[in-house]
Amino acid sequence: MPRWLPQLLMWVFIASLAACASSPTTPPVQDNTSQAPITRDGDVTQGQQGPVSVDEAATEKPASSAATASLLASAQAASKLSNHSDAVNFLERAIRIEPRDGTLWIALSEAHLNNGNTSAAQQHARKAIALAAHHKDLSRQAWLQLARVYEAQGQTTKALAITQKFQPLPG
Amino acid sequence: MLFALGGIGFLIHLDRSITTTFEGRRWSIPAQVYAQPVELFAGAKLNRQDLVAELQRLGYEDNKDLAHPGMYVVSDETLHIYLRAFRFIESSRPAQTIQVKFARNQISRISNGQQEIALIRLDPATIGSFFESHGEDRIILTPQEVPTLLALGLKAVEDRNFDHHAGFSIRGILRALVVNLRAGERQQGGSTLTQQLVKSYFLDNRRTIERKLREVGMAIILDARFSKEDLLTAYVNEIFLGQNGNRAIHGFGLGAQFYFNKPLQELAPAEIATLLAVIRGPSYYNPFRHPERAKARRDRILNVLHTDGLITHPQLTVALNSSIGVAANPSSGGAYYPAFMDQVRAELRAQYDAKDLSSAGLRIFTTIKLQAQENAQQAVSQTLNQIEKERGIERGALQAAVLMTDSQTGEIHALVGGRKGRVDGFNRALNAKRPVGSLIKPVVYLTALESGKHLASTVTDEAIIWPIDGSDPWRPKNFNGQTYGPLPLVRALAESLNLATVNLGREMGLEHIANRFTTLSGHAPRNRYPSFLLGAEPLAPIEMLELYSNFASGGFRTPAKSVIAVLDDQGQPLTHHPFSPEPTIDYEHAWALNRALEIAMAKGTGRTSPYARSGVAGKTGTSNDNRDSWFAGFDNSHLTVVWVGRDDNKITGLTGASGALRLWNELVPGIGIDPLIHPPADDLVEIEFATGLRAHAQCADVVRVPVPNPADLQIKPGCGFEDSLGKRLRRWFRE
Repeated sequence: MPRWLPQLLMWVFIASLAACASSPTTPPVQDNTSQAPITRDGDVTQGQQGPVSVDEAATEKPASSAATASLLASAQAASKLSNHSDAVNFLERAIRIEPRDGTLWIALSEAHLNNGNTSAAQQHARKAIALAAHHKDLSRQAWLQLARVYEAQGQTTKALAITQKFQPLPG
Repeated sequence: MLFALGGIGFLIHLDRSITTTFEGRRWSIPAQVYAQPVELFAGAKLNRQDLVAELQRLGYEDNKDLAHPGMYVVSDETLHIYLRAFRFIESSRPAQTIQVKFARNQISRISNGQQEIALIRLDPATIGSFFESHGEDRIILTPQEVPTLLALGLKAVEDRNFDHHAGFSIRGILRALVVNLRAGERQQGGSTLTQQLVKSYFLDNRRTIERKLREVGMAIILDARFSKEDLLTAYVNEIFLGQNGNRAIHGFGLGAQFYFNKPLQELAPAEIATLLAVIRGPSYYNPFRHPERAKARRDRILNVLHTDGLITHPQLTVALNSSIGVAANPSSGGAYYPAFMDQVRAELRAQYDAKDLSSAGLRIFTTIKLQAQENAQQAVSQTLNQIEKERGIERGALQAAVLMTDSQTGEIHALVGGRKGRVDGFNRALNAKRPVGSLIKPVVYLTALESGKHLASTVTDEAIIWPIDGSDPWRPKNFNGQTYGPLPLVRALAESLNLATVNLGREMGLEHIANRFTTLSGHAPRNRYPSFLLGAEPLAPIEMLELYSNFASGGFRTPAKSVIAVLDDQGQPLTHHPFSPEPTIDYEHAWALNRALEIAMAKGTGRTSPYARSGVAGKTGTSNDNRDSWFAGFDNSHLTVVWVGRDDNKITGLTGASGALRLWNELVPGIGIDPLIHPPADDLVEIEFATGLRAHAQCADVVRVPVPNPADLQIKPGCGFEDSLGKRLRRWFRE
């Protein structure tokens, strides 16, 4: 065996690792802080005027996430108006479309928390944690959501333990 | 004087009866129950044919004019839909037109002509209503909702002098007499609409003078107490228009749904005329059973409507040339999916009594998906027929139950309680408790995984004698009577080996496993003996579904639910039924068990399924003597449980694979497979399926399983791990 062959194989191996490093092996994380379009479905909610056009950026997203992004936006709008029940309904509808989207379960946990249902909020935060097991950022968000629920339930020791472990990132 | 007093007393009595009844019935509105609406968005896995089928199910009409809501048309590959208005749980949606484009068997784009639409939904199908025990069902309409042609047509055909008489018309009686004598048959009745209304409330059809006097008296009282609009609206909502099993169809709102599968407001003149024709004799003029007779009467009515100027000549021509046009499958609006409605009723029982459900006008939004439900019902009927024919089992002897849910939320998409779906009967999905056989085994193996074992750990498949207090010792056997010695957990579960399972269960402790079962299922086992380990435990299919929800959801007990929300008759929310996933299994143990169940499909007792290697997990089960055949399976989206057996509990000869799994195979084409998603591949280790030794595909029949410390595994001799490329490269580096 020529002495140069193992070295050549080594460089080929390193080069292929570098190529693989740029390809994600896990599905993209649903970032709930992204610039989701304020799209709504054609249903008109009370007090709203009519459908809003889709943000151009939404067309680059996986198809179903444009639909769920619109519901997430509707839920956020409802929450701002303290219509927490409506927010829950929007998010459940989104989860029926994308049942394994951890972002939606986190949002649903928050909506239940705002609506005073801490039991449901805790269950849904735990569900988000399980769904986010292989997504580091989403997993952190889910754990921090659980901490918020514990805080609301008066379980401050548990909340603190989580917050210390998964400190929110600065900025 | 006495006679006058008696008369006044009689009138007071009549007044109290009829007024109370009128007011009570006017506000007695059965709850309406809705299916899940179909969601439309770019990327939805719905091709044009599927969406057209959904529209037809909702009674949408294929009409190029697209003139009003409830119509659709295909033009240049685009599906144009005029959506109906609907008040959903959280919002109202006005009627509107949309254009839907398709590509590669899914929706590619939705727009409203000016803007792209990210998400929109069809109006949901009405799948039932809860009516009072007297069996009368109705959809209540307000005066504004009664089409003008219907209101005027009623008067033209049934009571020309309605607006002027005082509830009773001698002129009407005389006119009817003349018409009927001329025709030689009874074409017209002499009763006013008000009299017919009184008769429909609670008078019988006896032709006695006493009954007639009561009818006239009550009609006069009603006419004096209430406005003509109130009386006409009550008539529209009350009149008997047909019978469907134990359900009486009352009112034109429900009549439109029953005969034409669409809202009253969408009926064409010919269809309104058909409903008017039915009044005189819902059985005699039944358009399903006597279409020619119904059409003849309809056509006479159309001519009356034209003569009175209520329809134009072109409308008359079109109407006369149209067929009777009733729906192919009559929608009862109530008993359509009785097994699923049982579950709805059960879930609402705690918060609503029967009176609330049957008279308060509630709006109940449920989780059922009609395409999945129809698909499941059809698969049950066809598969049982085929099995009976192939095996010489008497026709109709086999029964089945199917439940299908979203694996993450527990929402029930389909629920089949027996082979005849449209008939109220014993609901096997909810109430047939049958021994579950090997379907219980994952609980044993999960307990082992949680106790420190892994899928490559060794378990011994050998004879065991288990002493039982006060009884002969238990000597279980494998299905084929053989034993297989030491083998890995994953193989023991995949091949459903009884002896390995019992040995493992004894090691873990029966009590420990029973406690685990209690947590996962929500109730303690009924059987506290070791035969529990092999499934001598009676569960209803819905209980089995809840057990497997722990696995399919990735570690959460996810109770099956059929109700989303209940609103009052004004659209205000009353109760909301949230998702309720309760954590029960740690992530890594749930993942390991599901991986084993996936291998059980690919290489174990599920391997005969054409979908065995499509990324699904599942377990077959057969009870003693082949009386009960079970299958529980799940992919990334759905969990399904199937049971097949006989109501008389006789032997069927079916195993889980030849019965329930076969039925599941028939379900799959209608719903598709969404393959299970696996964590990153480096979590999995290749082991020889037969022995559990570390191996690779070039030297053994391997499966890939999660193992905590792969380095601890013994390597299969001859597999050559020591000569792997990685090790050689590392050695060359060092040289």
